[in-house]
Amino acid sequence: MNLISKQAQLINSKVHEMDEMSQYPVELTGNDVPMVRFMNVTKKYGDLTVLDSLNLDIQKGEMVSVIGPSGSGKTTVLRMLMTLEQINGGVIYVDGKPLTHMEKNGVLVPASPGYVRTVKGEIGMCFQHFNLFPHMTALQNCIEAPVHVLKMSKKDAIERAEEMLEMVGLAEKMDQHPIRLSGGQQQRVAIARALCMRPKVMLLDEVTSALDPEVIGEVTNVIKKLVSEHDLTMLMVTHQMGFARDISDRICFFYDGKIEEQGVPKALFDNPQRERTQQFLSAVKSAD
Amino acid sequence: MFNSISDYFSQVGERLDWNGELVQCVVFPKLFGTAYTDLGFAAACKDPALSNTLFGALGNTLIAVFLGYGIAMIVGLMFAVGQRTKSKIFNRIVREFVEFIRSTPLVVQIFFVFFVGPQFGITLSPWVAGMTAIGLHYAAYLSEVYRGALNAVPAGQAEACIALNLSARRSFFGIILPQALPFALPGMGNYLIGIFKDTPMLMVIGVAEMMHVATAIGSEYWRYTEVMTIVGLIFLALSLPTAALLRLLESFVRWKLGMTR
Amino acid sequence: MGAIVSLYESVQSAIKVLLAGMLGGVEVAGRIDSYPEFLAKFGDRLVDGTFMTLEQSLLAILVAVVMATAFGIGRVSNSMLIRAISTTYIEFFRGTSLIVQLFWIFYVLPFFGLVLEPYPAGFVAVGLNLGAYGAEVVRGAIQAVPRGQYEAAYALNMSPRLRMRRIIFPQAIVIMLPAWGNLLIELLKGTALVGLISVTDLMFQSRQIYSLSYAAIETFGTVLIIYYLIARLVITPSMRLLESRLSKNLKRS
Repeated sequence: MNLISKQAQLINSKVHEMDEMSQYPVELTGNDVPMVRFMNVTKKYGDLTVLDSLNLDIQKGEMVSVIGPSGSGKTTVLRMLMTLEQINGGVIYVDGKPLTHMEKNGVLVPASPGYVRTVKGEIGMCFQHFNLFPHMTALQNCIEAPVHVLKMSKKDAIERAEEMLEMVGLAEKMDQHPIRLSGGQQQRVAIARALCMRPKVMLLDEVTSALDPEVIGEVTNVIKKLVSEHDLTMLMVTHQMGFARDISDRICFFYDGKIEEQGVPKALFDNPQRERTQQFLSAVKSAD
Repeated sequence: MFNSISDYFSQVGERLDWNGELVQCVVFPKLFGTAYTDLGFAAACKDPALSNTLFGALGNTLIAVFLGYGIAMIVGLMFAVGQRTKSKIFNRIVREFVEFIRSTPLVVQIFFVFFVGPQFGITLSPWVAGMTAIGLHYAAYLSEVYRGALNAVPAGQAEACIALNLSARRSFFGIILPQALPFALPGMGNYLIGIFKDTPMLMVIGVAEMMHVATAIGSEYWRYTEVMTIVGLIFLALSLPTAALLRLLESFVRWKLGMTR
Repeated sequence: MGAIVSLYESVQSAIKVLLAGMLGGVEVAGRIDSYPEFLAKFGDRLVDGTFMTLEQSLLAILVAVVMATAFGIGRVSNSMLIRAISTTYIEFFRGTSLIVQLFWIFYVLPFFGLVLEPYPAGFVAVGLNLGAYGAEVVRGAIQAVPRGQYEAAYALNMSPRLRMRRIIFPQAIVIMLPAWGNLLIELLKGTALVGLISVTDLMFQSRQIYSLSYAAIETFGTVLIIYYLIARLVITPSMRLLESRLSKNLKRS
């Protein structure tokens, strides 16, 4: 008797799972497909729920800044999009295609690593601590992935790398190793490196938080350039409020794993609706 | 060459011959002494001819390990302290001496100690010579472990001792040494296992430890397989649990000293 | 190939001639009274032994490095099978004595159909044994490479194999060099044991010379000094040079 009911339980949960997954479309279609869509995304660390049923759309070419206190889950959002973290519920879509799941018999099932790599290639990321490859020059850092992953010829890769390094203003440093570059210079090389892969989405994870104040400007100028001259979709986690206000199309304020409030910069900064937003913004102002 | 894989394995099986009379009637008695087969385990332990058997040799091995390691621990501490004296020249001399012992093979050192005596008229027994050589060799290793451990204790501790006007002896033995202990234990444990595995070197000067007896048995019956395998297994059986126990000991000491990381 | 061998041999003879020349035709009659006499009589053997030891060491290093790299990387592999195989190799060769392994390879393997001459048995055993220790060093170094490097390579969509080959392992090499310096000295000492299976290395020669001369201090003392010189004047400086070369771009000048 017990055995049968256990079997029934298993089948039940499987059906339940399939049922659950069937609410998610296998592909996003239509005219206004967002570049990135988080659909009911949940992230747990053991018992602790870091992100609770997050729903977030980012349109093509949009520049979204994510702000909030530490522990609010904002970095986790980026890391999940880069699949550095596994999600515990929901689906993430990139350019209409599911990222964390793949289609099987008309339903979505957890994606295989091979599939993830194909979709993930559209996304580039820059880190707080740059993470440049120390044993390679700036140029070599930039051509490494295009040559070995995209199978570009070395000549083409170098051409593209020189172009990108020129854009971030470090053309003359391209044969230097990271150890000889300042923090600001390293971060700019990191941005160039990510851009060489021609991603559709750029993720910036607190890219100025580890920099000395006097070099923050170099990096923010480069990002400004990116926003104005290219129509990259960008998602940026930052503590630089003034900067975020200047260049973002939209601000998302995260608190305790949820989007507390979001809107155009002017609206959110000048006229915050929610109490927590007001508290956060005033705390940040007084710190300046 | 062999016609097929199965051919090869059946040939190997034939040669292994573990169930043969050889093992029953020859190897086991040689392992534990004839008293074993006749009168059982307890009687075998009391048999005076024990040291020529593998089992007795194991006892010799263990004695060698404990004696040798004991000497190494004490002399090693002397070497380590001897490199921290006020005299830079003395430090340097000790350092070079320790480096010399560490960089040269233990076998040759054993020969040196054993054969050098007669040239001066004193004959050292294999045991004494062997213990001296192994003790000195591992003292050199342990001195490096001690040095690293002592250096790992924050400099502020010594300064605090001076500020509190503690005596040099109390500072060292009561404050510095206990804090150096968790850093020293992994290295000390590794070398305990190392010394155990190096005892076969003593066989080159005739100490009847396990390898010596095993080789003797092997050459006598021209069948090395069983004996060598058993010796190898005994080594494994002793060193793997010892390693696990040492890891336990390490975490226990850390816990006792309140240094859980 | 033959040209290299004869070059090698002529170098050996050249050194012997040099040695004889330095001793200036010392006459040896019956008992050996002094150190130069000792060297005159046995110098040739010592040179032979030294060269054999160097040969064994070099070949063992080759084996050890290959084993250490393969099993060190295997130890951190994503495949449970590869991890298990690597761990078994490491624990087995580290948990048993080199002498036992040496004797096993030389005396026992023939019963399984694999007969090795003393020469290859020697360096293979030493190489396998030190390779196990080396594998742990390799593993430690790989795990010491900062997490951020893995993440950056992942963000650039590199496959795990590419990431290990181009990013992680090159950085691990610089990290593991100091530990390898010590391992190489242990390897040199390990080769002394091959004399016990009648490879005519320095240790073997030392016993021969002793049985002919009964001059313990001169014989074993000289041999010890030769080993020490190899360790301090060849191995340690080579490792330092390698270290400075490879980490040239990783340290501020």
